[in-house]
Amino acid sequence: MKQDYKLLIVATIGVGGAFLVPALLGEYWLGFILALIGSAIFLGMVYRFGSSRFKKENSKKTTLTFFSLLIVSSSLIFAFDYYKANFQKELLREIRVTIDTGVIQSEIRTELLEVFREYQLSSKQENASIVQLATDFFGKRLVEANKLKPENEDLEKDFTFLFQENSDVDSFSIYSIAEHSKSWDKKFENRNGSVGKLQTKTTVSKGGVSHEREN
Amino acid sequence: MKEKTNNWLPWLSALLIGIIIAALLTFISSSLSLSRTSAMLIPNSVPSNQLVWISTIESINEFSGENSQSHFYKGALVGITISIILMFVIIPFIYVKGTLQSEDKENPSPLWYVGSAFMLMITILPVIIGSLSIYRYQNVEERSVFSRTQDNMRLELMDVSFTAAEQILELDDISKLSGVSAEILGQLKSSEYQFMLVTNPADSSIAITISSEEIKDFKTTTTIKPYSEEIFTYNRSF
Repeated sequence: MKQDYKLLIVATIGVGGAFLVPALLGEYWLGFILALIGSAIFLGMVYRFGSSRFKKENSKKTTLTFFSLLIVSSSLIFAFDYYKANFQKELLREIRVTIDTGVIQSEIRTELLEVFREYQLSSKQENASIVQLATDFFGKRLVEANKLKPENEDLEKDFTFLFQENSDVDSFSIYSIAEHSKSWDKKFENRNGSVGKLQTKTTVSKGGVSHEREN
Repeated sequence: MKEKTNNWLPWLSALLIGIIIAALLTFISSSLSLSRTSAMLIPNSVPSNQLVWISTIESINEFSGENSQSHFYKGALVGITISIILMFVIIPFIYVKGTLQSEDKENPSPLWYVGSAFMLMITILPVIIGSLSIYRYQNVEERSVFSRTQDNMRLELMDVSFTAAEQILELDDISKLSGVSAEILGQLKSSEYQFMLVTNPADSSIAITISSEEIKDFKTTTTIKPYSEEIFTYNRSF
């Protein structure tokens, strides 16, 4: 087999493999960079092969222009596409966090505000307890393993709600974990065993309702 | 003059062939009802655009909590590999071989036409597609800044509304409602948005409106009635 065809076969396998192997491992952007580097080397070799045999100076110039344009424009577009894809990914994550934050506030924080309202309305009675009021308020929705079933059952596939009674300070907390919202610390251990998800803590006490994002 | 025309004629022919091939590929990928995987197998002169496509599907799956695209993912990667090999290996090789074959001849060889047509296609099309993509992207970024500001405004309003509701519930005497609004307004001085509070002692409610100089004509209002079944009602206007 002629040397140039051997080069073609090696380059096909090399450039294809440089992309496909990392891509199958999930690193397709890295794969594309490796394929671009491999391609630049191959194009350099093809140019050398051609220019040593070209008889016209124009053929050399045209080939060099084509190959340079190909590598430069592909690299520039790659850089832009990489930036665009990351921007898009981050934007969607941000939107998801915003939606989940809003849902948690309008479902959980509102319910704990209602518990606080009951406390305020019954505070004239002696021995009014936040924990007792919250337990009565949620009733059968407080299930085993400290889980709270949301009033809207559709939320169960997207959120986990866990409750905690603090009888010593008379407060009642709900931890809300959004299963599809990645958050600040990727290694954060959520209370339900998942890792790196948005988690908020909403607490009702005699002082009011506090709401904070934990991750 | 005739010699000059003869020099350019093969290039014009190659360009025409390239345009026909590009149009055919566009027709196949847009007109025929292909599955997403099959569409990804059609060679593309901008392989990184195909990567953006994969990334978009991944992002949407992450957003919606789905994770069932492995079949599509592998098919798409094979398609992109084909595009990369064609674009960076096969076409440049054919072009150089065609040029070598044609140097001694009066008319270029068929291999030169094939190589040059594809070569023109893969060098010109990415520049056009890239420029259009950058142009369109400017609008996307502008719109996303706009909706991000709206989201932040809604979240901040929600936070303020909860604080206001709590403060009303803590009041012993509803005539002190105006004091609540003054306190909240004091807390909001550092906010980058503008707030307007309207109290209504008749039903112990407060209406809070948020607006921003950044987004003209966008306002959103929460009416807080802490003693009614529905504590918050939201209303937005453009």
